[in-house]
Amino acid sequence: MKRLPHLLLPVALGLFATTVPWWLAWLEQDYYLGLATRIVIYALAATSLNLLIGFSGMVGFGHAAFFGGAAYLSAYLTQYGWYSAWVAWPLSLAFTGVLATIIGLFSLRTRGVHFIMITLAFAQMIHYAIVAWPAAGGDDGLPLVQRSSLPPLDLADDRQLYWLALALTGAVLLALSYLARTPLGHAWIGIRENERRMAALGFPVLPMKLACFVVSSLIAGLAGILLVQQTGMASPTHLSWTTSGQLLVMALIGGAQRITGGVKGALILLLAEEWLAHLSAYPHFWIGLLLLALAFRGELARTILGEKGR
Amino acid sequence: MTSPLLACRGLCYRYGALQAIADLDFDLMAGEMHALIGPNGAGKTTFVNLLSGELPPDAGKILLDGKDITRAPMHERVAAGIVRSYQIPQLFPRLSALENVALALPARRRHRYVFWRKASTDLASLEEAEAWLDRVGLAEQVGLPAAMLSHGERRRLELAMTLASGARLLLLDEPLAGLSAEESAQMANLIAALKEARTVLFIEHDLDHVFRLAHRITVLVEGRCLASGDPDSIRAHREVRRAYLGEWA
Amino acid sequence: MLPLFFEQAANGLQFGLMLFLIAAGLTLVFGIMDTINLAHGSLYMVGAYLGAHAAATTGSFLLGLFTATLGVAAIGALLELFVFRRLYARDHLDQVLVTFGLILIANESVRWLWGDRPLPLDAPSAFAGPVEFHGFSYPAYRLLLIFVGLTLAALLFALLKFTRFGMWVRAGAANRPMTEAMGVAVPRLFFVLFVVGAALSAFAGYLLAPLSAVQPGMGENILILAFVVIVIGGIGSIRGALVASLLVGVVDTLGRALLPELLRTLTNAQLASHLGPTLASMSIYLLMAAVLYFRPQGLLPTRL
Ligand SMILES: Nc1ncnc2c1ncn2[C@@H]1O[C@H](COP(=O)(O)OP(=O)(O)O)[C@@H](O)[C@H]1O
Ligand SMILES: [Mg+2]
Repeated sequence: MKRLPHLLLPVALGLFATTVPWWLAWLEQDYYLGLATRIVIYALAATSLNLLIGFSGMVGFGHAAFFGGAAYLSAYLTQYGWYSAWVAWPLSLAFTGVLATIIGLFSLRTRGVHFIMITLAFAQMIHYAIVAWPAAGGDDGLPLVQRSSLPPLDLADDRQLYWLALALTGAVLLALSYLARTPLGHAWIGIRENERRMAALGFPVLPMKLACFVVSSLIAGLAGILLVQQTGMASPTHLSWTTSGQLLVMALIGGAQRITGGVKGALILLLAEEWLAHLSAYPHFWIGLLLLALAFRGELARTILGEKGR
Repeated sequence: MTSPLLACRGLCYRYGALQAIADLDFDLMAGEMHALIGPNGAGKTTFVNLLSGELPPDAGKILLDGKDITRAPMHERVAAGIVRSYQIPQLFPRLSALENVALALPARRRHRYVFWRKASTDLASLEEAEAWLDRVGLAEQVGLPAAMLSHGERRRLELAMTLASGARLLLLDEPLAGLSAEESAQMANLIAALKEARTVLFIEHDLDHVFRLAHRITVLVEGRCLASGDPDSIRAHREVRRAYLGEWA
Repeated sequence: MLPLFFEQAANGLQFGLMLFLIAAGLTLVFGIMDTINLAHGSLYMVGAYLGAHAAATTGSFLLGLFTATLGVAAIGALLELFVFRRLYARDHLDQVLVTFGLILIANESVRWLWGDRPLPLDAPSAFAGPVEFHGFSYPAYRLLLIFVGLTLAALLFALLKFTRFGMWVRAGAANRPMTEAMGVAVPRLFFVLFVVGAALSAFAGYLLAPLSAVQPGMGENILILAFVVIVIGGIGSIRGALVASLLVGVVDTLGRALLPELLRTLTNAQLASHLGPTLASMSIYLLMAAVLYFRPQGLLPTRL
């Protein structure tokens, strides 16, 4: 009985999220279904960073490489008629996994600020490499010929795509909260808390961190694949460092070490963006201020409320 | 003569220009309680780091049961039965004492990639972890985060983790450091209780405890072995008296 | 082929020296304060904008240079006092959050003030043409940059080597706890370091402006290059930054100019035209990966 209130909020939110397409139809605001889908997909992508930061304490600043890499490959495959999601998606994910393993093997030799810079640099390398590759459409990006076929679903239907993204995101969130209670989750948390001690206790820290890095990248890759389905296009933006930064910021403002942090962050950031874009020609200026305010909210509260605000 | 459980030959390590361990030979017999003493900066911690695999030696060999483990990574050494403790307790500050010890259990090491089963279903492990906490007198603190423990309690938790690892060879880096006289005596008793069951190399400054606990003592000065032998021979050793015991006498 | 090679090598040297000016302040901030500053590239961009604007209104290239350097030094001072000072003790996550926010603010501000289109800036007329040298000809402006870059680098090294301030900085970069032990001098040290780093970066941003485009977002590419330099050189190592800057400058420039040619001679034309640009744009990252693999601490790590 004690667990009930604990479950109430997620269940209510899940129910609400599931019914969003109908709400929007009722309000005659179907335009916003695209935004809702994007929020869900970015929530998934940001969650991949919550896994990385929350479980093993690594601040990855290069997840655009996996997000965009999988996006590009899945779009590329449709150019050759590989429409089946059952084939194209696992292939794209496998590619992401290989990429993450290689990048991880190099960057995991370092930590802290070093790790942040190196993941960023590798992501930039992937960005330039793909954009310079003639078959990838350069600065114009790579169009998706058609949405993947995933029987019994029909992804050409925007609602079904939304529900698929929602189901996958929900499944990942549930899996992660289960993972936190398993021996693997505990070992990762141990690495986050005290890596040196974990090594001294006989855990092969490097392979375990690599595993976390790769799993996190696969989740980001899955989000990238979904995003291409929604936008119909793999674009250099998906690979750019601003996407890495955006995902990280989402993961952070929602609470880096919370499994649901990415969901909260994606909601806040994308809704704020959408809203500010109506109000100002320079919405990101305000987003930037928002980030500063969030980071310094303690100080701000103290200034506004006076010393008693402590 | 039986062959040693752990043997070092010609071990060297330097930090930049400083030769911390210089051409050290060392033997540890199975089942013995071996004290490593020496002034601050003698290289005792560095030596433990070399044995546990935290630092790679510049030269020399480390043999466990006659097998060369000089270049073996830490986790292989733990699997082979060597586990160390730290001079400054290395805990998981935000995890409970119970979880700290549970992470040290061999079962957790073996199941490190298990993601399909909750850790809490492994009741045997939890009981085992609790038993270790009980053994070091932390039964009351089972649920407290490590960060909330007092210094003495942290030391005991550190020991409980080392014991729980199931290692046959324990390397204890100053397990009594910073403890009150009473706490020291308790901790010394806990270590004494390991006699026969485990092989122990421990670092300690208080010679009363050292002479009471150890079967054998090695004196390290400036990275070199000044003397090694049973307590009586160390007590009688002229150079040790002059160079080392004299300081405290 | 040979003249082309020399010209590109000189371009690499010139770019590397400018990169050094940008990376020098940043690597010290990382090394001494253990603080990640993503907005360093924005200072570079703002420098270029301020300078180009001043040069356009006054008609004087030199006035532009002063405006860029001093203006950004002032901005850097304000940022240090009001933002970074509160950030050093925070964890890296907060630092990422705040400095990412600063980038957004900077990019939008220049868009707001100067619009989306690139701002033009010409090299001063005295240096507009090429100089002839034993049959080689090389742009005078680039030669000027090489000269200025070398002078400033030498000045920086002299400062670090011979002044008390420089001694503190070197000690702090090699051994962070030492900075804390220095006590009262620390806030002042951090302040000066940050401001000098900002000014150097703006200085380089302005000088590079005639060779590249002054536009929103120009800071980010250079920021990432500076990161690569710092990683290769070793965090906090100023000598490492110099070596790595030159290495990155030369590898990047030569890679872009010569790799496609080289591939064409090695493989068939079609494969070369596919692979060439990709490999060229990856070259410095491959360099970084190689350095990381063999020397995770960088080429010249700081160590007491
Ligand atoms: N990380 C390090 N870098 C440089 N010198 C070190 C480092 N760790 C220890 N030392 C030096 O090595 C010597 C041996 O240190 P240590 O093994 O900790 O001595 P002990 O444990 O016997 O007190 C000391 O002189 C110490 O200053
Ligand atoms: Mg010691």
